[in-house]
Amino acid sequence: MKILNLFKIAWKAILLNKTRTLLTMLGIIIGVSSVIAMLAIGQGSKESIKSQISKMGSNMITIRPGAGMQGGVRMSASSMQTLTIDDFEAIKSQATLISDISPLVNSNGQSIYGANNWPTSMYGVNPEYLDIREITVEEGSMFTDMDVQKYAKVALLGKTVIENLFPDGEKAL
Amino acid sequence: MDNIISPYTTVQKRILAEDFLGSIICSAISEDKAEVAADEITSILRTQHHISGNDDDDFNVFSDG
Repeated sequence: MKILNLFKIAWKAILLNKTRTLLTMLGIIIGVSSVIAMLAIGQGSKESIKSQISKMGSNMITIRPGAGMQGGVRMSASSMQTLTIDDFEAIKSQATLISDISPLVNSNGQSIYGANNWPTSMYGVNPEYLDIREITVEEGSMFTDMDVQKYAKVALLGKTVIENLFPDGEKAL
Repeated sequence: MDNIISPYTTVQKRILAEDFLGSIICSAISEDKAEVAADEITSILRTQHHISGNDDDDFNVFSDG
C-alpha cells in the first residue's frame, strides 16, 4: 500500500503544478531528443562519407605497363608496349576476384563541332568501364560489345565537353 | 568531365593506329579483396609474359584498396 500511496501523492502534486510539470517535461524531452539527434547526424554523415569514398572506386585496380629494363635503360610507362589484348583476355578468363574489367587506351586531342572546339582526353574502353568507375549515362545509351567488335564510330561525351561544344544547348545526340 | 568515352577498338584502330593497350582497369569483387585480386593479376600476367624467378615485372599493378 505504501508504494500506491507514493504514486497518489505524486499524481496530486502534478495536478497542482501543471505549468511547472509541463516545463520540466519539456526540458527533459528537448534534452534527450537533441542528444539522440546529434548521434544520428554523426552516424549518418559517417555512412554517407563512406559511400562517397567507395563510389570513387576504392576497389579499383589499375594495371599499367612499365618499370621494365631494356638493356639497362629503364623505360617510361608510356613508351612500353607490353600490355596487349591477350593479357586482358587472360586476366578476364583466369582471375576469380574481379567483377568487371576493361582495357583502356587513351589519346588527347581537340574535339570540334562547328566553330567550337575543346581539348579532350579520349578514352577507349569496353562497356564494363561504367561499372568500374561507377558512372552513369545521363542521356542516350552506352555502346555495346557489338560496337566494340565493329570498331563503331560512337562516343559518350563528358559534361564539360558538351557545355563547350554545344554552348547554345543544341542537342548533341 | 573533359572526357570522351569510345569503344577501345575504335580508338585503337581509327585514332592511334596501334595494337597495344595503355592500361587495363578492373574492379575487385569487394574492397577488402582488392589486395588479393591485385596479387592474383600479377601472377596471371607473369605467366602470360613468361617472366620467371626473380626477373622484374614488365608491368605494374596498383590497387586503391
